[in-house]
Amino acid sequence: MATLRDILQRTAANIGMDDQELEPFAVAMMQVLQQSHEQGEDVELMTFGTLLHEKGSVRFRPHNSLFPPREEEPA
Amino acid sequence: MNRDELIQALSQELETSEHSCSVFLHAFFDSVKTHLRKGEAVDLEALGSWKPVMAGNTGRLEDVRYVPATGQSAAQDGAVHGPASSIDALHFIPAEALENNGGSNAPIDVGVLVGEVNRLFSKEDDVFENDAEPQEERVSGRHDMEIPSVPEFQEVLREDTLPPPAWSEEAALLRDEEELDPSEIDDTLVEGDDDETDDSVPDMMALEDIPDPEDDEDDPSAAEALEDDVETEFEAVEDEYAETDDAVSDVDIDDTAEIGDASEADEADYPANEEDSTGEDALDDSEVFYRNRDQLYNPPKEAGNKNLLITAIVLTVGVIAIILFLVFGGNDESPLPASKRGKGATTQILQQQDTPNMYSQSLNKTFIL
Repeated sequence: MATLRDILQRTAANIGMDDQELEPFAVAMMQVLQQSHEQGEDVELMTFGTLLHEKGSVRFRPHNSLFPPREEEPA
Repeated sequence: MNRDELIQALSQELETSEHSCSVFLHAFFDSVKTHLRKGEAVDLEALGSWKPVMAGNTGRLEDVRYVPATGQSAAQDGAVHGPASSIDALHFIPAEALENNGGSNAPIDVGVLVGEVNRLFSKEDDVFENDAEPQEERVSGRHDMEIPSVPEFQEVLREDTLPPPAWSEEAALLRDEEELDPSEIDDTLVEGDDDETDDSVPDMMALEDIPDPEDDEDDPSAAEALEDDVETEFEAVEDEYAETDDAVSDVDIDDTAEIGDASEADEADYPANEEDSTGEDALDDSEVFYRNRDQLYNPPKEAGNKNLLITAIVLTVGVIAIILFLVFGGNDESPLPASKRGKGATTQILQQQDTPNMYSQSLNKTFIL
């Protein structure tokens, strides 16, 4: 299971930076998201998906770009 | 909180530019998606975790199951997670089967779930009435169901042979007259993946290679009896599949309608993200990422102040040039006629203030002289 550290390292590698440089971004982002999440707000995670709060429960709706396009069904 | 608000909040938290925060957030969640597409689960601590569901045959990401963080509960409304288009209606599991699994948060036992699905289907239709029989007694068919009325087929399939009269030319003619779909019959005879109808071709070839009973002219009555048996068996198979197809099609239509309703209700509940359902917003993440990355290394310049500065410099230079031209670059040729006489003559004309007095001879003496 990929943790926050693993994702941060991959992110840093993708944009050609050191993961320690991005660590303040990650910490602040988690604080902002956690605060909004605990307040019961719907949180849109960029092009990953959206965390929806419905009747005291949490549901995740993935963004369409998360899934690869389906191949054409054979006639 | 939408993505713009998230960028602004992160920018205020870090006291940095929104552009840098946007680049980071896009790159971060792009990495999350990459992990999931590779089949690796993702744990974001306080936000929860995501587990990918990969397609068995293609290995691509089919669905994502979200597990909330500790202290939070997942949605229990029975809604289908993930886009409706990614759910095969044939694989839809009735909600009743999930509810009978022993609690919403309890781990799902696949074996119990399959048994529950079979029980629910058999309750509506008696197609699965012999579910209690051992697995080896069943025939791998179109829906892995048993054909109880034709046990001869099971025996024949187990031995991987068929009696030659069953596949004679006359039997084939009878099959055509009954308008049976050959693919359906082939699917019942071929064990394995029922989606690949090509698998039935070698088996049919092998069956046709079986010697025709008419070649054996010793006992024509036996051949006629076998043809009657084959006709009876085909009718039985056709009846079984007609009932099964009706049952399956009914279930599919109802379940598909449920999926469509759930999807529509989902869209109505959260109109702020309607762009997600459009293909236009299906961003090419790699394109966005590389564009943002380029902008990260080559941030756009502040163009407004620069233009003003350039305009001010140009105007200043122009004014100075005009002044210098007027001071040093003027034309020496003056339109005044007196200028050619020299500076002294012009001064005399301009400074002459005395006018002749027509009534005083003494004063006008100088003018006369």
